[in-house]
Amino acid sequence: MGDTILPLLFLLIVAIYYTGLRALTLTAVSVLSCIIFEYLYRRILGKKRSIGDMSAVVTGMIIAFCMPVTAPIWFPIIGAFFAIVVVKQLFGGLGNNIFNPAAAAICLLTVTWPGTMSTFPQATAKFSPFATPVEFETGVPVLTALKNGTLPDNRPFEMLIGYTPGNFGTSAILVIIIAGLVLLYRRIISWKIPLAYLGTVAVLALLFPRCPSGRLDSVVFELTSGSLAFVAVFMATDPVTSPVTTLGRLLYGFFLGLITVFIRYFGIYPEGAFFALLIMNPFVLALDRLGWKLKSKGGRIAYEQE
Amino acid sequence: MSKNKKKAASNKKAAPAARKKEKNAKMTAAPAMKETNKAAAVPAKGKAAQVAAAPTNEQKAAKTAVEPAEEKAVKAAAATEDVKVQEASAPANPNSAQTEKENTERAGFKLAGNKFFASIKNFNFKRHKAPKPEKAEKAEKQETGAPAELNKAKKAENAPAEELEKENQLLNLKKRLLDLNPVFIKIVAAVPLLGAAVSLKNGILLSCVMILTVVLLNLLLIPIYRFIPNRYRPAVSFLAAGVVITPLYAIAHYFSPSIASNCSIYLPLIAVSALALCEKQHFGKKYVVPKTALDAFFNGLGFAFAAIIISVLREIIANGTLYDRPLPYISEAKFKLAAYPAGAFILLAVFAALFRKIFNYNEGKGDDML
Repeated sequence: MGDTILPLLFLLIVAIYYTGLRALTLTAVSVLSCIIFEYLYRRILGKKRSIGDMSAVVTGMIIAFCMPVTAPIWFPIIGAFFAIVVVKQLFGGLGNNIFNPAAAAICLLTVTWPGTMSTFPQATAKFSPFATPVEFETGVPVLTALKNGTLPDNRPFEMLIGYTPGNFGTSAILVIIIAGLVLLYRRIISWKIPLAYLGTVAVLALLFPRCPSGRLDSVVFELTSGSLAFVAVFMATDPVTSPVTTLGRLLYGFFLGLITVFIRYFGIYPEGAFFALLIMNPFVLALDRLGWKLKSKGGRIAYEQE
Repeated sequence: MSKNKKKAASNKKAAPAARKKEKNAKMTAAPAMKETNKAAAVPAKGKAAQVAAAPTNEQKAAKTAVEPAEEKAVKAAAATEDVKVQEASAPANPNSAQTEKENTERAGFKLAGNKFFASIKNFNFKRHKAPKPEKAEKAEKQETGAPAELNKAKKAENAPAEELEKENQLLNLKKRLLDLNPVFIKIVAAVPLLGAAVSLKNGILLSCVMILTVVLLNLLLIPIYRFIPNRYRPAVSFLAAGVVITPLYAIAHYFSPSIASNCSIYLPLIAVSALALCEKQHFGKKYVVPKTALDAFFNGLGFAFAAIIISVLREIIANGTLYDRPLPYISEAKFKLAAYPAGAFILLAVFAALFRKIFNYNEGKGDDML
């Protein structure tokens, strides 16, 4: 768990460079409240301390990164409470949680305050660390433009360096790619889930383009917009809530991509990656069982013999 | 099992085989252990008895330690693995002091089992009549050897008390509302709560329709249930549910069209909830219409209790209103998740945990009466 903190810190630095110190404030509040809730829950119920595994820090950073910079400061506190207490500790702590805590918290915030969570400032705007911004120029994120059927203003290079309106921690695609490669090289994550996930989204975008300027543009915009890349690298590969077997991982990524594209195309919300994660999390064990059966029978499925 | 036995017989010192035997003995003796803890050792049937009959070195050692260890085992309810093995091997020991007790209890269990099987044999699906008295007397004579008149007198003494106890258990409003609440403890009929009980008005309408449906279904079905063969009962009860819910649905739409349309499909779906359909299956022939209808009414009240609690909380949390009127201080803070089924699931889980903790509910404690 601790190994993913360093790439997330690089993402935080990029976000601070673009949006000002408010990104740091939100992240700090989120991480601190995650740690405090975990400590308090464990202390009150008289269980072993579990802050040392650093999972609360990672959860807090991910929750903060997936919101707009203009979100009020109590947003990450509510998200942290829901993620740590309800989704993680009530199910038995790290290793027993069925759902991804960070994804559940972001879905809660998105469902409860859809207006605040989907209005993004323009990429050039900078904010002071503590005062909650009330009036600011809103920018049109790429996903909203694609949903409306119009051509996005941003160029692909801007998308790569993260100079677009969107969640402050998840838009720098280049940093995410480098972080993913480093994590792959250190064998902290495997290539199967991100590749299957992004590949499915790319193929679907190629077959059914939303961008009016062409199929390849549609592929580029679908892959680099929203928080798809961030989810594929940092959240879908979460060791607790992702399959272990090869077949399970490939199928997990495939279905994640399918549901994400479905929600993006036909749903109410512009971004569907977090909901896709929550939908696929209960099926992890079933996918793993399928993989184990294939492994044990030499490539043949033998249901009757068991 | 037989392979294990041979192995153990050939080389007695083989430790893994002995461990396997212990495991098997535990596995087979496990259902019998509960009774042994309560009263005394019951003969372990089948495989466990075979294991006990073929003593290995360990079990011989265990037998010698049986008599001092048994008292401890009775005192301390927490049975460790060693104690379990000892108790399982205890009935095979001819020198133990409990043989007389065991024999009498064995006879008692045998008698009960024979009666049970005889009742199954004598039960006739086609006629739906009680078995003839002569046959029953003969069977009793064969089983007990005692004259039938004495048994009859005993039954006559015991029967009304048992029936009264059962009725008291069933017709208990407090149990239906709290101890065995259909929603919070049995988790029955939770679908309308999760789907439609968003506001207090919806909750009141849902609970009214639920109470009426349950009572009317009982009044319709209980008199005719005994004439229907077992396999046709689900079909008949579904038909009756349809018959009951259609006029209720129409009435609800006539009196409160907006609330009924808010409840959407969950209003007619009440008729096929488990509370309405399966609740009457637990009554035998003895129970007649007024009692079952009263019990169904209590069940419906339990549902209404849960529905009103959950709908009030959901309305306050999600909209800041109560009965569509804004509350003074809370009306601005809105937490929309409570209006969705996901939030309702969390609320239901919290209440289920609370009720189970408060009323000391254990799984299987009250399963015979829904």
